Amino acid sequence: MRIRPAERADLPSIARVFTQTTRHAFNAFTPGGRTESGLGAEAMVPEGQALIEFAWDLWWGQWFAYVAELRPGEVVGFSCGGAEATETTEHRVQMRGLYVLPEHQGGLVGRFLASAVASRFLELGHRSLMSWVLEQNVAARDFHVGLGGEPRYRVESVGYFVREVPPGPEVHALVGYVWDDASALVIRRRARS
Amino acid sequence: MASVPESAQRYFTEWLPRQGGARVAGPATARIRVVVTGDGGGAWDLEAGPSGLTAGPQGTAPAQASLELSVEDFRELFLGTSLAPAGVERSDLCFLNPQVRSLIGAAPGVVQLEIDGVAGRTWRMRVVFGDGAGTEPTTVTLPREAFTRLLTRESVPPALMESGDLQFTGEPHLAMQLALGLVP
Repeated sequence: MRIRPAERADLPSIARVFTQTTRHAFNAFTPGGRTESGLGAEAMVPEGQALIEFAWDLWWGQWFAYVAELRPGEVVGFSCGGAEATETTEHRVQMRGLYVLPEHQGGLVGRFLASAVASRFLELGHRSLMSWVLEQNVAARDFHVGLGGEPRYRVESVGYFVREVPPGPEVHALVGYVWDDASALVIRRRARS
Repeated sequence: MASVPESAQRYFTEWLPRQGGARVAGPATARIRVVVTGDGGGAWDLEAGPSGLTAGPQGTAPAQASLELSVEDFRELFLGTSLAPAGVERSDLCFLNPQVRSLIGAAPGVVQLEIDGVAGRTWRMRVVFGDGAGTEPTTVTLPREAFTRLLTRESVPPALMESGDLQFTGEPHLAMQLALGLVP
C-alpha cells in the first residue's frame, strides 16, 4: 500500500470511494438503512451531487488530499485537509473526511492517511487540527478516539453530509475531535540501529 | 494538417475523431451528444473509450451529456478563436477529457451557458446532463473575456465567482459539473 498526494486523475476513484464509504456508514447506523422518516442513503447523499461537489473541492486546489493506493491505480481510501468548515471552533484547520472502502476498514489504511494529513498540516505551520464526525457514526467516532482525538465540540445541522436532511427530527449532530498536538497523529519510521 | 471543416457534420464525424482521438483515449467510456440547430446542423454521438474517439449520427442509447447550440454558436466555439483560443483542445469542449468524463452526467439536470459579448451578441449553449431530470434549469453567465480565461486556465471558477464575472442561478452542483466538463 502506498499513501501519496491525490492527483486530478484520481477524482473518479475518490468519488467512488466517497460514495461507497458514505453509504456503507449510513446503512450501518440506521436500522434497516432507513431513518425514522424513511430516508435512505440515496436521499441523504445524492450520489451525483456528492460526486460533483467533492470533485470540485479537490479540483480547484482549495484542499490538499492524499489517496491510499493498494496497487497502482487501485485507490481504497482518501483524506483531505483544509480550513475548518464550520468556523465555530478555535481551530483553523480540519482533516476533512477520511474515507476508506468498507472492505479495507479496520486496518492501517485510515491510520496512514491521518498521518499524511497531519504531516502536511505541520509542514504548513499548523500545530493542531480537528475533524468532524457524524455523531451516529459510531465506527468513525471509535476510530477517531483510537487515534487519540478528543471529542470537544458538538454542532447540529452543519456539514456536508447533513445538508440534505430536512429540518426537524432528521437533524443530525456532528462531533468535533481535536488533536492539540498534530504530531501525535504522525507515524514515524523507526530508525534502524 | 488538414484544414478545419466548416461543416458541423464533417467536424464531428471526421475532423474531431482524427484530431482528438489519441487525447481522448482512456479507460472510462463516455457518450456525448452534440445537437447543432439551424441550417447545416444535425445531431451526433461522440463515443470515447480505450481506443479513442468515434462519432456517428445520434443513436437511441442515452448520453451522459448533450450539448445543444446553434450553427452560429457552434462556429464561434469550435471553428473560431475568439471564445476558445487555438491552444484549447476542442475535444475538451465536448466534455471528453478522460480525467473527468466519468463524472459527467453523474448529477442530472440542465444548464444554460450564456457568454456575453461574442460578436456583439450573447453566445448560448444548453447542456443536458444525464436525462436532464430533477431540477429547474441552471443558468451560468459570464463575459467572453472571463470565459476565455477559464478555458486557458488563467482563472478558476471560484475566483471568477468572487469577482462577480461568473454568475449563476439554480443548482450549484450543476454549475460545478459544467466547469469540470469544460476545464479539465
